[in-house]
Amino acid sequence: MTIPLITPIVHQQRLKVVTFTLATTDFTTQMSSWTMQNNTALGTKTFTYAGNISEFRTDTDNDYSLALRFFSDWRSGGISDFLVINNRAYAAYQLDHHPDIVGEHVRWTGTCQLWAPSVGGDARITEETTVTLPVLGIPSYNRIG
Amino acid sequence: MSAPGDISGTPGVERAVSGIEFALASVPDFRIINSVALPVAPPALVIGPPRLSVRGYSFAGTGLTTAQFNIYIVVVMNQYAIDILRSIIASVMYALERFTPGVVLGSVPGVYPSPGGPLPAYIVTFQQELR
Repeated sequence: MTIPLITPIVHQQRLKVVTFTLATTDFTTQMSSWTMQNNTALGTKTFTYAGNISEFRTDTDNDYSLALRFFSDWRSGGISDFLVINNRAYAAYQLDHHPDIVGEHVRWTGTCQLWAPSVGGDARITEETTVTLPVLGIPSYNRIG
Repeated sequence: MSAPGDISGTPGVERAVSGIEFALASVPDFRIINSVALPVAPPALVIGPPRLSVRGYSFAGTGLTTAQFNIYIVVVMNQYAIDILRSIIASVMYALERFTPGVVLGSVPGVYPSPGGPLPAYIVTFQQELR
């Protein structure tokens, strides 16, 4: 007897291709990790005397940041040089997620503040530049195609 | 529709293998071999049977989530073996990265255990999500 199978096939993707620009300069080639972090704190749980639906949480401010890891590039205009020179400056960012997959290409854009990275590491290990750039407001999310 | 437990007919795996074959077809001069049972006539690209893993809740027939393939780049054992391996490895890795949704994790030099004796080979580790 053949059992009729219901086959809910999982839909999944590898993180494989993105396009990332800071101040319109493309740093995708150097990037090895990215996270659009939502650090927004949960509000305080609060009650009123109104009965069953009396519970709510206080509103909190949006707090996003871009956590990025690059292979260090200290050439003039390279990502490490760029972050140090423009420390604390505000720059536009654009991150295209799954740009090569039709129907899943989405984009985050906005403004973030550049931070000079911590520099250094263990001997004989590939040099990396890791930064967390605070984002102004909420990242603008758009579906491209 | 495959019977329960019969992973050879799992659509996800079959699709992944045909995707790899399609990608590797762009590598010139190498024949693609999909069975480790046959003697290999190098130069050849051998797509080994995948290591499969299951995560998630839906193991209803096609719940396999990830396949990891060893792809052997097999060449003739002669004085040019290392030169040929070195010149072809980038094309194979590029073809897999460019033409499949999977990722190349890396590549190690080794030998392919052909019935006629070990042959020089590069072993490319390739992972792809199944769906």
